[in-house]
Amino acid sequence: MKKFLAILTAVLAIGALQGNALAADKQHKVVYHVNGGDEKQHMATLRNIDNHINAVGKDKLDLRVVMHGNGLDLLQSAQKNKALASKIDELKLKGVGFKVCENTLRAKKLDAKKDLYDVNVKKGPEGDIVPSGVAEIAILQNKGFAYIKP
Amino acid sequence: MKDPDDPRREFSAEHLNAFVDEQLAPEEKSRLLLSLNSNEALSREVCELRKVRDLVRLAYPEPSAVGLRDGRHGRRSGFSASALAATLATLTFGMTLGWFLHTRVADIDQVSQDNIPDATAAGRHLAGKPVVTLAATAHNPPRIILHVTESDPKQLAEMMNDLEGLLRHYKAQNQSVRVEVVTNGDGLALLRADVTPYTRRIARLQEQYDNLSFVACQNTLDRLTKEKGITARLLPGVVIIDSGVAQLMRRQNQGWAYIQV
Repeated sequence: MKKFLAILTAVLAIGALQGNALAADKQHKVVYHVNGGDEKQHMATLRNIDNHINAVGKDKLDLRVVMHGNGLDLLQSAQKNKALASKIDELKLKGVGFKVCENTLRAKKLDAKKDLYDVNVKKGPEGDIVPSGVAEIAILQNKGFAYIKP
Repeated sequence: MKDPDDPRREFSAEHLNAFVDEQLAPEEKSRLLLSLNSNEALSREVCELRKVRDLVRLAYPEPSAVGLRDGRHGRRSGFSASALAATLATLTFGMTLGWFLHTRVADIDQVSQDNIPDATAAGRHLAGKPVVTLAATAHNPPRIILHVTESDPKQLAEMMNDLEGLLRHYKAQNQSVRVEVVTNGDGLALLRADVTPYTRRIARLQEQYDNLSFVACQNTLDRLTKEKGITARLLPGVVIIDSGVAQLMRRQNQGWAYIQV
């Protein structure tokens, strides 16, 4: 009986470890938080993200950038700053989602289509606008996303 | 030496055994002790019994000695009951683990599908279902720490807007939420009665939302006193904890979401 129990426990432990490793291998989930900074800092953040993708591999990574408050400057600057814009394009091709806070749009009286660079204004999960940037970060963390504030 | 079973003996073998095992009533014990002093044969017999008892204790570790003294015979059935309980517990644990891993994998699948633009809406809806229930049960209500480390007025102003927007967002959705504002370092300025520009706004928020708390770091308070000679007065209702950083760690370990504002 004791031996049987020991074997049972061992098998369970091995199974759990392997299941865990499998899940961890399959996908890294990360949310980057941007709520301020100037163009130079924004460029540095985008480079950070690019390096992150290169280190992990784009197929294993679900990476989202959530912007609110003055973080929306990132997409405002990209309307004029070609270097920022092309970096954003590059990251989007690698699967990065750029999410914009609706509360901030309202407070700053911004038009996402006109004032910000390449925002999908469609409602629902495929769109780029989230009701509250801060709440979105909390929701993603509850879904297992790691939080990084560059 | 007298025969131990001799009925004329002053003390029976059973009586002596009880003495060795310290199970005699006090007056019987003292009567026997008196006899032991005068009766050499008796004392040798007791000595022998003690030796046997010690040998038995040596051979079987403590639990069996307890069992002997207690005179209970339920040990065997007790063991199998605990083994049964252990088996059940292991099985339950294994099943829970399996279920948990299964749902996690489903969750991950869902997230990766989110990113594939041409996934059909129907497919996403189906795959999304278990995730929604998982999120609703395991993380209800949402709990969020806002970490304040700076005293820059522009940043504080934005932080206050974020906080209020967040509380309003969850209220509008009729969803309960818990929010804790943790301040340390320069961020403590937000909660210092002599410095903060937000005395009234914070009081209003505290009144409006009972799911909101403001936390100040004791280490920072101590440092202010030591380095600048300031005894900081805090706003009413502010909670003081030992260390802001430790609180961030505790809360994240408890499953709170962390946001630095």
